[in-house]
Amino acid sequence: MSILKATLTPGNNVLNSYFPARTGNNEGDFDWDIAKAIVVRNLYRKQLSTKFTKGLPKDPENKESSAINAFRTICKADFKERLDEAGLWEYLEEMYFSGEALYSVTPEALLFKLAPLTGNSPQHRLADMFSSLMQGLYIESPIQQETNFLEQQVVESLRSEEVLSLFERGKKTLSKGINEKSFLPFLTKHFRSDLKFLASHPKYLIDQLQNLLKLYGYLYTAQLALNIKGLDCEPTAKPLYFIMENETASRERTDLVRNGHQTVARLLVNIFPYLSMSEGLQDVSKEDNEHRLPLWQLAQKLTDDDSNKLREYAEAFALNRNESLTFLFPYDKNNTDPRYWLNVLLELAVQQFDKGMKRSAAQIKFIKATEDELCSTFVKARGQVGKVLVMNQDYIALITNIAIGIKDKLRFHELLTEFNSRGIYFDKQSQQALIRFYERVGNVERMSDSGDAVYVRKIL
Amino acid sequence: MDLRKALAVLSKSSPNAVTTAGEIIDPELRAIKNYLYVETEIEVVFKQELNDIQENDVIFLCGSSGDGKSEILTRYSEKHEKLVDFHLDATHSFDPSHTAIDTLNDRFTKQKTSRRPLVIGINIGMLANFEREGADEHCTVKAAIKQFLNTQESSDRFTFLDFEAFPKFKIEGTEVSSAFFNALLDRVVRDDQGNKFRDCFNQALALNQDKKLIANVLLLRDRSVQKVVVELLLNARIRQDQFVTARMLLDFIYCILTGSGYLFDNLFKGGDNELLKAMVAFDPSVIRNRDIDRFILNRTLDIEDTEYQLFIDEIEAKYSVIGTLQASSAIRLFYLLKQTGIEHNYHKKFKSSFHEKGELLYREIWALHRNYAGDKEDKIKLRRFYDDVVFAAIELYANRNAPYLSKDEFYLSSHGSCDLASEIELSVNHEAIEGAACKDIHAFYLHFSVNDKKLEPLPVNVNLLTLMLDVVEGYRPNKHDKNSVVLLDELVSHITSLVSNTEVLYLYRDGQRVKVKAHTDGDIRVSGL
Repeated sequence: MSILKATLTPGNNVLNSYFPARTGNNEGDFDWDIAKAIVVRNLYRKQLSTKFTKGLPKDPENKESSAINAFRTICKADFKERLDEAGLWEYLEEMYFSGEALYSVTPEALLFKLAPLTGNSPQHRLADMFSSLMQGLYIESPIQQETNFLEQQVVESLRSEEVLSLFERGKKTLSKGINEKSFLPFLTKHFRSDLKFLASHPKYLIDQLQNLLKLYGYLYTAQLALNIKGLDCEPTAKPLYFIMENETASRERTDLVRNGHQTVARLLVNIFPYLSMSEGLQDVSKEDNEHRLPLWQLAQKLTDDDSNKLREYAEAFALNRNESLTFLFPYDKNNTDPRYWLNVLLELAVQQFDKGMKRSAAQIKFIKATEDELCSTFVKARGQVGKVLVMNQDYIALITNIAIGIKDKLRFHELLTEFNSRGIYFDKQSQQALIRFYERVGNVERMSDSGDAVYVRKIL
Repeated sequence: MDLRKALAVLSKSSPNAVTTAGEIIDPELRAIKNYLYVETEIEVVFKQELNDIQENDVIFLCGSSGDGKSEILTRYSEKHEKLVDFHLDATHSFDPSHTAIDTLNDRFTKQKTSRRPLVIGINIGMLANFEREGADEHCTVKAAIKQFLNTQESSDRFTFLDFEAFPKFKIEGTEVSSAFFNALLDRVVRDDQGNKFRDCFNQALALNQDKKLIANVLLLRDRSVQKVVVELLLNARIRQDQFVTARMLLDFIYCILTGSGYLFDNLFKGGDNELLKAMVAFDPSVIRNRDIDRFILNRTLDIEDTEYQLFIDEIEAKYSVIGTLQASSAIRLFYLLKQTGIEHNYHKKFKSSFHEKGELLYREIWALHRNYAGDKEDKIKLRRFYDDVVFAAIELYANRNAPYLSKDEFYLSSHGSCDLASEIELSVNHEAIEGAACKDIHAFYLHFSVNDKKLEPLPVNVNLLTLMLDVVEGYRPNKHDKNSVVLLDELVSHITSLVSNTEVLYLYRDGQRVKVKAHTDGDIRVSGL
């Protein structure tokens, strides 16, 4: 059966999959707290129970705080049963319920952030990117945290059925996009194992989840840009050179420019046209999207029978998007290769956003949102060299820990290979700086003077 | 021969610095080189292993570049090459299209048919690379390498001899010695007939040539000066993690003797030698305290100081150090002579300025951990060290945000204006110390319990120890400002997670303390509200 939608007619460019940015973005669409909360929801398979949310006021503005207030009442009752002097509650209330305190108790507390969220909330889009990268990952039983008995009681109250319930797949509250097949399987693999590693250290997860998401947010964006035109095979990790914050970039360090954000930035223009074209060609049920394929897989599944349909669609599409007085269609109509016509369509999809076309403003908005929300953490301007990718010490510590993962230590060489498999590269000079950083921290062991015999330990 | 020229054989840039098989060199230089050769402990063990070698066996001689792998191997290859294959430099290939890994693969493949015993000189880094990238057909070799890398142990037909397993330094009490370095040094400066350099030295002395070099040799002849140099080398090893190899040591001796200044200046001004580079960090002339500042001021203003003049005169007579010394050079000289007693002991005034508390304590405690056998006096010393330094530093660092806590209370976390603490009892595990072997010179292992729960042995190097001393003395580091803070931080947060899990917690708010206790029946008892 053909992979294509039954009838292909040119319409608006629609994007609901594989990427969070859109041609129109509002402030607050990229909410990292919501993204974190949804990752935790998927990971623990827990959500605020309907019994719990039913009692909350409808007003979305204060929904989060009223959810926490409702939980506070439950928690208070639980403590009252155990305390011989009720007066301690006043202390506990200050300790765990003032300000953002609750969120540092356990990752599950983030679920309160989801109280105001509805199925249509635009905040889902950022979270969907990570849900998609998780591909259904969850932990069987939550790790017991090393914590004191007071905090333990708060966690237990939270985990009670009164507050949290099992979260099942395929529910209405789910966003539409998350069942798509992975676009970047190599990154999915790493994200799953890195997140799983973090989840086994709950306190570290609370600390670093946002950093992990920002890191993968960038890696996903950059690797998507670098891989999206490759239709012949599964995407692979392309080199992206980073430097440490305290290093200076210079023109001699060509990799920083050649294989850095400047290349990514040039390719960002393809993301929206390619993804929306790919989406428009596919027919997926709205409920769970389980059959949505990444473009490279779609290309592989095309058969000769699809050629005609694609050619007709290409012609219709070109005519539909034609803005000049004369209509040109400079393609070989006798070509029977479906891949040829797919490429034509993709080319047309990109052309509709060219400078001077009426849609170009939309593309600019899309790219600006991508740069601002997903790239700016790592992209820094460094003098004459221009924009380069920079990691601060917190991120260096994070990638070191996730690269070493469940092992105790790795040889420096192996560590770099682990980085590379995530698309993170360091040139020779940065490697020296890394070694110096580890030496300063004190987590290296040398077995000889050879650079190949340096071991790096985790820094949790 | 000119002394300077003769000494050049020590230099790493000398063409004779590296020995390779089949090389023919000048007989006179060869004689000097043979004369300089010092048999090391690892060589003795290697000789033994080589004599016992069986068909199909492999000996890996592992070390850093310049450790002397090739030197040892060439000495034995001629004698044994009929029966044993030698592969000298596993870091190289002999064919441009081949990598070092390919060459090693070929070696092992060849051995499969010939079954001849094989001796390989190899760098640990290369060994690790082969473990990862070597051909699958050599999986038994790779497995043996893996085991060695993880456990430092050899397995059946594979023997691993690692230079790092034969430490070049020895610590006893607070004393450091290095038999290998002393033997080398002795061969260069010793005043006796067997010394091949002595004639050149005497000739230079008679002709009144190269005065600085003469003075440097005279200084380095002094045993107490040698001791100070050895201590500095140990510091480079344990404080800067600098590997010390034979070639580096020879070059080091060459550099400090023949450098442009006097020995004490050459030692600290850096240079093209890793050891010298590491020494810069220990330059005594950058120490600032009252005695030293006043001395520098007086010298700069040229204020008359008869005692100093007498000292300088004696130094001139004894070591031929002539001319006016810069104040900083004089301080370096004081440092170098800190263990030397002469008639006018002006330099001894500064001994306390050079008092290296961290290093001394490290050596003492390292040796205590190594040799501890239940002796009562040692037990007291150890307990005092754990109480006054380790536990004190842990508690002070942990409670840095809540200094009002008493000694047996341990800060856990802050929640708004509330602080949470719990009781803590830290105790030394004497039995564990007795049973543990401590081979590595750059760390000893702490063995102690937290609330009766034994902690994993924790390595302490001299930098962490110094940090602990600083903390005890009132320094409160932040996470990013110094070496090793992360290590202390990690230790403290590990202990925090252990002690959070107790029955009794203390809540502090506005100076008020509330005790909270969890009972087994689930009740929480509160007192002090």
